[in-house]
Amino acid sequence: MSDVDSETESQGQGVSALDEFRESWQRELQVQAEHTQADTGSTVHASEADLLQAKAESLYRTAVQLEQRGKVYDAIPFYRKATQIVPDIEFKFYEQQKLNNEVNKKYHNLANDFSKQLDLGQQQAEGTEGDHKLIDNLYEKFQHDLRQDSAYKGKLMASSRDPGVLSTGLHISDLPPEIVMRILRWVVSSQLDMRSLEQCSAVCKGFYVYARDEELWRLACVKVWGHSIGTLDAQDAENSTVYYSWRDMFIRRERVNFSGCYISKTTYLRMGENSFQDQFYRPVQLVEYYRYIRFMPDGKVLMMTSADEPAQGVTKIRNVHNIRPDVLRGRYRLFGDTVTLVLQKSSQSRPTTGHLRQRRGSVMPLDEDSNATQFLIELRISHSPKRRCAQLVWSHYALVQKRNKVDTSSEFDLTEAKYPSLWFSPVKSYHLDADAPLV
Amino acid sequence: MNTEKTKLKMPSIKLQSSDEEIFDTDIQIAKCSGTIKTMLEDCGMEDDENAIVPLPNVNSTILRKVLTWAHYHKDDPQPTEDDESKEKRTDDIISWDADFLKVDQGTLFELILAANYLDIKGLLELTCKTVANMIKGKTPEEIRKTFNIKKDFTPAEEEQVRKENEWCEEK
Repeated sequence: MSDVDSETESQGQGVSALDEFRESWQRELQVQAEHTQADTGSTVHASEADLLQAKAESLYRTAVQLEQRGKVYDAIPFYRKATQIVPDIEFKFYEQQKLNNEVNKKYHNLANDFSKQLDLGQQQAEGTEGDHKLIDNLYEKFQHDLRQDSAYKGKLMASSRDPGVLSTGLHISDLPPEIVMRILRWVVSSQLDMRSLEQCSAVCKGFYVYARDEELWRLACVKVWGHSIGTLDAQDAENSTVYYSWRDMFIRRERVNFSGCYISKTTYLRMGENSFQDQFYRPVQLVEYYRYIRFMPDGKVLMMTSADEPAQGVTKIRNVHNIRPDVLRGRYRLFGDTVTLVLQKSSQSRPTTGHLRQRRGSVMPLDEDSNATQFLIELRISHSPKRRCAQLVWSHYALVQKRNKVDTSSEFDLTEAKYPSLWFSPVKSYHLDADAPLV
Repeated sequence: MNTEKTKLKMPSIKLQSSDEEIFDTDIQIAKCSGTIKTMLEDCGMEDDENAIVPLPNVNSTILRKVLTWAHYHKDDPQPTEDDESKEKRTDDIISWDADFLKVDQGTLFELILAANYLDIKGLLELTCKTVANMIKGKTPEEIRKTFNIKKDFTPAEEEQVRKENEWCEEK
């Protein structure tokens, strides 16, 4: 491990440590697979072919990781280089993965995100060769830069103020790190405005390092998935995607978006009444309405159907503390790629805020009312090419009426015409103001 | 005259700012600050009328501002884990705070540092939230401008960061 840590300091050493690691790893694999390849023997120095293969593999792995993170274009040159060195690398790589799942898993699990560091080493080796400038781990590079460069004077941000002009006011870089982190928690806020956090990371190296803080992202993940969050490499019994970081989980794992609401438009024709005078003329009415669903990171959800166009419709569910009586509200939970909602009509007998407060923090089956109507909805989360989790497809919709402690459940017929999928549209005003810090 | 006043009112203590100005302050208000509260209790200064609490990290301008805030908020409920108390905050308190924070950026940062040093949770949260709202919804360039931050990325690094953040771009 320590070899790899020092990689960032010294390139040459790093590369040889890396190769040594790969070599021994590969030998292990070969022994296990009882390959009939030329025996590498017990010598520490590997043959030329082995070195090449190790190199191709590592290029290939970098490419796979890049692709998994959605950076397909960045991945392509790595794939190409890998296949140039070993043409059937894809096959070999697959074989190895399959054969040595155990080793592989360990390799991903290493606390300090070993794989990233390996990539970094590889990247730097690439850099010396010439054309490649992609840095795989900006976080570490920036941390390193900030430590090395004396221009920062031990701070994480440089001021753009003219140093020639005397200024007595404090600069944001004068704030200690724990304060900046506290501010970022307010930026993210309980609404999980991760977009603003990402904007921060693009400000300067210092802000990048702050905004990529794993604890912030972990807290955000905890908010989204709650008890079923799982770990970075196993979420539940069925699903065990390996995530490289909490940020990676937040980006790639199925969830609902919070920075706006999901909207669908339903259109149908309704036959009108025959006119009294003209028996032949039968009016047909075109009915159009919109369905709005807004999810909140704290597990609450609002649903409204309205004839209002989205421009007005979205504002009606903006203020969470002041909900109109025709808006259904309730709670939701994520299970894999489905989201389950339990909704009911806002009760009018009690003041709305009091009602809201009682419900806060309670678990999903919410109700205390004995004669209540609940709407149970299950939606499947789907992606659009432009945005992840942008589409919600109806998979189940039932109405449960409780009368005298007897539940009557009736299912809705989910025809595509009446229940088209809902599409996400961002609404800026939902995240304009921080309400509470991320905790 | 002074003694008469203190007899009628709450017991007071003297706070000394970094530029050696003395602030006669109600104990109750001074105790908004966790730091002062601990100092008073640990050193048994509560009964001593003439005790002076030195606050070498806060200058008189900022200390006056902090005490104004503490005076206005002295009856606030203690912050709890439960977020109910936040909802109870009425709008006039919010607008008072907004007026209170009509200060330049340097002063705002000084207030943050003072609130942090004096351990006044309410003021620290308020000031941090204010800075956060200056950041939220802005583009990186706007944030740089707001806070006079120098862009220290190389063009390649900037592009790479942009790509990493592509997932949340609004199109």
